[in-house]
Amino acid sequence: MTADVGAQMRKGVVEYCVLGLLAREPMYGWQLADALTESGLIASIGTLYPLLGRLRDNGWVTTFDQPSDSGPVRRYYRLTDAGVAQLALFRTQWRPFALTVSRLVGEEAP
Amino acid sequence: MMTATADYLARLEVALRDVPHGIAAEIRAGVAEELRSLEPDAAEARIAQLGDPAVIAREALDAGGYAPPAAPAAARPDTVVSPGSVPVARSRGFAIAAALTLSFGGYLVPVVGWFVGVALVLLSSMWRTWEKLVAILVPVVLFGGLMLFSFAAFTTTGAVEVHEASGTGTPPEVENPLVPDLLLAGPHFLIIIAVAVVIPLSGLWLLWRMRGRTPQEPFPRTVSRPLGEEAS
Repeated sequence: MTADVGAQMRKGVVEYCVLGLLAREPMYGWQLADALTESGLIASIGTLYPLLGRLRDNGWVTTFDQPSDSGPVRRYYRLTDAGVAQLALFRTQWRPFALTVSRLVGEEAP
Repeated sequence: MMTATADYLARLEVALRDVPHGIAAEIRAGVAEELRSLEPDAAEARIAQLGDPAVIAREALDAGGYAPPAAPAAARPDTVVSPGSVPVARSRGFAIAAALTLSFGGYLVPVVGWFVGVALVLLSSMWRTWEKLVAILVPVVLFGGLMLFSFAAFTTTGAVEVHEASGTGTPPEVENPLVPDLLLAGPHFLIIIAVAVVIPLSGLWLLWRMRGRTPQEPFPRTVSRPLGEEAS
């Protein structure tokens, strides 16, 4: 139980962070991996694709192919309507949740 | 250079051999599209950034795998999820057998075979509840619906016959006993054909739905419910 607390928290929210990123614009795999690793939310691109697979299985994300300026066709990910709704739901719950946790953690501090 | 990209992709291919096919294919495609879009120097820099393919593969396994809360953290760094550690009902093999039994069990042992398939599908953890319900209930609803339709056709035919029989006494122009038989035999035959086609399709649909899923964690995790409870 002394496992990396940060890792557990990241696991809980990283999918919604992907939804949040995709809500701004469709992104391709490396773009997402770069943004998420830079933020410390995932360790590598290896973590990203299982996560995207789950989002797609859930119907929150879909893909489309688009040729890139520099050569190969890229696979872009974008939110579906269900993904937009799910993100909205998460947003409504996140703030009260974070406040509750802060309050509880604060109360237990010495 | 291109060779560095090709070499990296080849090493990645080997490293991903234990990763579920769908996920491995996506990782390969994602890395390949990125590397091939870059100039050679930039590609080499990106390869350095991507890191060891073995690490990518292990993280893909970890990310797709279900880590039970009791799993000791110390065991994690060197642990790669092995197929042998997966409980039978969670394995891909079990799920494939379940879907095939649902599809074709009824052909081997009429009716009973299908029920065995239903039981196996319900036991498997590879699908969501709604997927199982669709695969099981669509043929049932179709069968029930067609039977009702057939019954309605029967009663309508019967009513016509009664009406004709209690007429003016003149014999009906056509009192063909084959007519009700055709009306009944036709729908029944169609029902059997429809169900015989839809049941195999239901199992094959389940197989299609489970593509790319890992046995350890078939369902996407959601944190919305716990969050909602905590927040209130």
